[in-house]
Amino acid sequence: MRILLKIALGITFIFSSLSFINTANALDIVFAEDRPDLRTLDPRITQSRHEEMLIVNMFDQLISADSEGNIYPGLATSWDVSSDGLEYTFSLRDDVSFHDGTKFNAAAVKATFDSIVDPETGSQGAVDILGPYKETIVIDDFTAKVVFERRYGSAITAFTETELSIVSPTALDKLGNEGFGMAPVGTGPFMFKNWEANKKVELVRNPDYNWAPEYMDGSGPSQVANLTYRLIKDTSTRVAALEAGEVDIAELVPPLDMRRFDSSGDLSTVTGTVSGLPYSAFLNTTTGVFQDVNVRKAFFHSLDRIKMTSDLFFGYAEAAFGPISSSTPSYWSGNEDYYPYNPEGAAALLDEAGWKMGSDGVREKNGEKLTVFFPCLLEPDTCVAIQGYANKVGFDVNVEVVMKARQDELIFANGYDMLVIRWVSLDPGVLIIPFHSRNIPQPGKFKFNWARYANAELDQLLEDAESAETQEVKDDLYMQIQKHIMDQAIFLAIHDQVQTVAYNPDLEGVRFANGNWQMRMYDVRKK
Amino acid sequence: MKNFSIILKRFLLNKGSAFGGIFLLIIIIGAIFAPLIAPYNWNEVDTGPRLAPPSWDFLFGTDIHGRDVFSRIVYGARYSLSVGVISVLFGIIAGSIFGITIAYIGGRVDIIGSRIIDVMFGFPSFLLSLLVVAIIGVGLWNVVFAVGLASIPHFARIIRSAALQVKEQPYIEACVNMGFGKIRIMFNHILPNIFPIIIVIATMDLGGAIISIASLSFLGLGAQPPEPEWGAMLSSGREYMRYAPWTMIYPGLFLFLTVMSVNLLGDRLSIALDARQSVDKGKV
Repeated sequence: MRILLKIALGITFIFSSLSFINTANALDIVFAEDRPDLRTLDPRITQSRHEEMLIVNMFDQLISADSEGNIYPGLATSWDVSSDGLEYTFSLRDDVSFHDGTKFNAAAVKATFDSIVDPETGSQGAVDILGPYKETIVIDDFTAKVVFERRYGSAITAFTETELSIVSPTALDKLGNEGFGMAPVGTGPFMFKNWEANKKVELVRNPDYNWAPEYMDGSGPSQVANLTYRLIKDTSTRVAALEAGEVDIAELVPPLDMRRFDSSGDLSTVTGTVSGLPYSAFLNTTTGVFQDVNVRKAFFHSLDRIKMTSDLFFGYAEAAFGPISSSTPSYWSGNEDYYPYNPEGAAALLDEAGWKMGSDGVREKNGEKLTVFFPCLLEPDTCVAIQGYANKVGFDVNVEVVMKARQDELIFANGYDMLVIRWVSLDPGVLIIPFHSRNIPQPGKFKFNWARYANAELDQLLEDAESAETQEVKDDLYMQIQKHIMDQAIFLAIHDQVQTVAYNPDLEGVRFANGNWQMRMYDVRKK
Repeated sequence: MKNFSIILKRFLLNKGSAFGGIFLLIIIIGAIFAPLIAPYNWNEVDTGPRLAPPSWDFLFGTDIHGRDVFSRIVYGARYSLSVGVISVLFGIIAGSIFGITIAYIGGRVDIIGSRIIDVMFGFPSFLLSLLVVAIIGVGLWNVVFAVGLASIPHFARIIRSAALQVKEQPYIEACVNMGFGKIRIMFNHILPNIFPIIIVIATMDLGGAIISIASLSFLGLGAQPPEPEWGAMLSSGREYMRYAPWTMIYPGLFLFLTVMSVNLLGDRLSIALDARQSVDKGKV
C-alpha cells in the first residue's frame, strides 16, 4: 500500500515538473554576431555596437525607448526637469534588483554616472553621451537628481542610450573596471553566464525580471531561457549556419541573401535603417595628403556614392551625404548639395593643388605620390569600391583590412590617412563625439575625432548646440555644424547604415533596440 | 650539353612532367605578357556588370566590383608565382649558408646549429609564418619573408646532411691540404656539388610556398586589396560564392593547377637529376 502511494506520489511529481517546463516554454536562442573580437561588456566603457549587442540585453536604462525612439518609463517611473533645464529628478522603481542581488536604488545611479566621468574608467562613449554632467544627488533611496553644468537638450534621449545603463555598484567594487567588463552585472532580462573569447557569449534568463518596459509584449521573465551569441565573422558561414537551423537569428546578412529569403519566404527578415553617423570615412587633417582641403574635396568628388551604394547593397541601403543620417533629428538637407560625383572637377582640383598625373596613373607632386593609407575595419568591399573610384582620378589608395586591435594601434600612433566609422545614435548631439577637439585621440586615450580636426569655432558651436534652449535654436546650430563639417570636407559620408537580420520563421518578437542596430531578445518567443 | 639533353629527354618522356612543364610555361608567359593578354585593367571597377557570369566578353565572369576575373587571374599569376619563387629563394639561400656552414665547421657549431634546427622544427612551418606575420605586420612582402623564414630549418637540415657527405670526399681534403680558406671551400667546392639537391628541394618546396602564401592572403594577412593575388581573390569571392561561384572557382583552379604542375615537375626533376639513372630507366 505504502509502495503504491509512493508510486502515485512519484507520478504526480513527474507530471507536475513536466507541466512546469511546459509553462516556462524555455527557448534556446542562438544568435550569430559578425565580430569575434569583443573586448569589454561594460556599458560605461564600450563604444562598439558589437559589444552593445549583448549589453542591451543585460542592462536597463533609466528611461526606456522602443525601436522608433518613443520613450517609456524604464528604471525610473517618472522624471521632472527643472525650469532652467539643469536638473533631472528621477523617481526610481523600488522593486528592482541587480543580477547579483544588490538592490537597485539612487545610490546605484550615482555610482554609475560618477564612475563614467571618472577619467580612471576610460569611458569611450558614455562620457560624451552624459554631456555636461555635474553630479548626481541622492535625495532618498528611490529619488535621484542628476545635475548638469549647462542646459543639456539631448538629456532625455541620452538617458535611453545603452551606454548610460545602470550597473551594479557592488559588482563594480568587487571586480574593478577591468573585471566588470568581463563579467557584467546589470538589471536586465538576461544575466551573464559565460564568455569564450572569439567564440561565444552565453546569457541566461533573469528569473526575477519583472520590470519590462510597457512597449514589450511580454511581462515577467523572458521566454528565452538561454541566449547564446555565437561569434561568426564569416558571412557565408553565418548564413549557412542559419539555413541549417544551427542558429536562429543572424545579423548583417548580405543583401543578396536577404533578397533570396525575402522572395522564398524560408526565413523571416527585418531591416533597420539606422540613425546616427552613416557609414563614413574620416580624412586625417594632420598628416599626409589630406592636410590640403582641396585634396580632400577632390577625394569627395571622385566617388559616385549613389551608384556605389546601390551596387553593393542591391537596394537595401541608401547613399548618405551629411555627417548625420537623414533619419536623425536636426538633419540638414543642404548636405546633399555638396560634392556630387564629378571626376573632372576632382582632377581639376588636384591639378590646381599641384598634383600632376604620373605615367603610372598616380598623381605626383615634388616626387611624392598621392598615396592614401586606408586601414579598413568595416565592410572591406565598400573600402575596395572607394579605392576603385579614387584610383580613377589618380589617388593611390592602400587598403589594409585590419582587426580592431590593429586599428586602435594606428589611431594612437596617428598612422593613417583615412578611417571608416559608423555610429548608432538617436540625437545629433552625437556629433560632439567625432568632431570636438577634446576628442582627438592621444596615445592611451581612445577617442573618436579621427579626422584630428581642431577648430575653436566648431567646438563652440557643438557646445552651444548641446545646451540649446529651443528646438529652433538647436536645429539652427546643428545646421551650422553640418555646414562647417561639409565645408572643411573632413568627413565623407558613404551610405546609411542598415542592419539586416534574418531569423527562424517560427519565432516572433524579434525587435530592434532604439537606433535600429542592436536586437532586444526579451520578447522573442515561439509562434 | 649531353647531360642537358638526357635530362630534357627524361622530362618529356613522362606525361606528368610534360603537362606540368607546359602548363607552367603558359602561366609564366601569361604572367610576363599580362598587359597583352588581359583584355581589361585588372583594377578597373565597373568594366562590366557586377557578378556577371562567364561569357565571351568576360571569360571568367566579373566580381562584385564589376572587375574582369580573367584579367585579375592573369595579373594574379605575377603575384602568385613571383612571391613563391622569391620566398623559396630566400629560404634556400639562408638555409644553404646555414646548413653548409654548420656541416663544414662541425663540432660544437654543428651540434648547436642542429639543435636550433630541431627546435624550429618543433613548430609547424605554417604556424611559424603566422607568428612572424603577427610580429612584423600584414602585407604581401611580409608574408613572403615569413614563409621563406619558416622554410629555412627544412632546407638547412637537408643541405647540412648533403654537405656532410661531400665534406668527406677526397677532393675536399685535397682543398684543405692546399690551404684554401674555409669560405672558399664551402662555397666554391661544396656548394656546386650539392647544387642538384638544392634545385630539387627548392622546386619541391615551391608548391608548398605558393600555397602557404595564398593561405595567408586568404586569411587577410598577405596581399591587400586590390592586389589580385589568387588567395586574396578566393577570400573576397567567398561572400558571393552562392551567387557568383566563378569568383572563387577560377582563382582556386589556377592555384591548384599551378601547384600541381610545380609538384609534378619537382618529382620528375629529382629523378632526372639523379646521375645514377640511365636514360632508359628514366621511364620509371
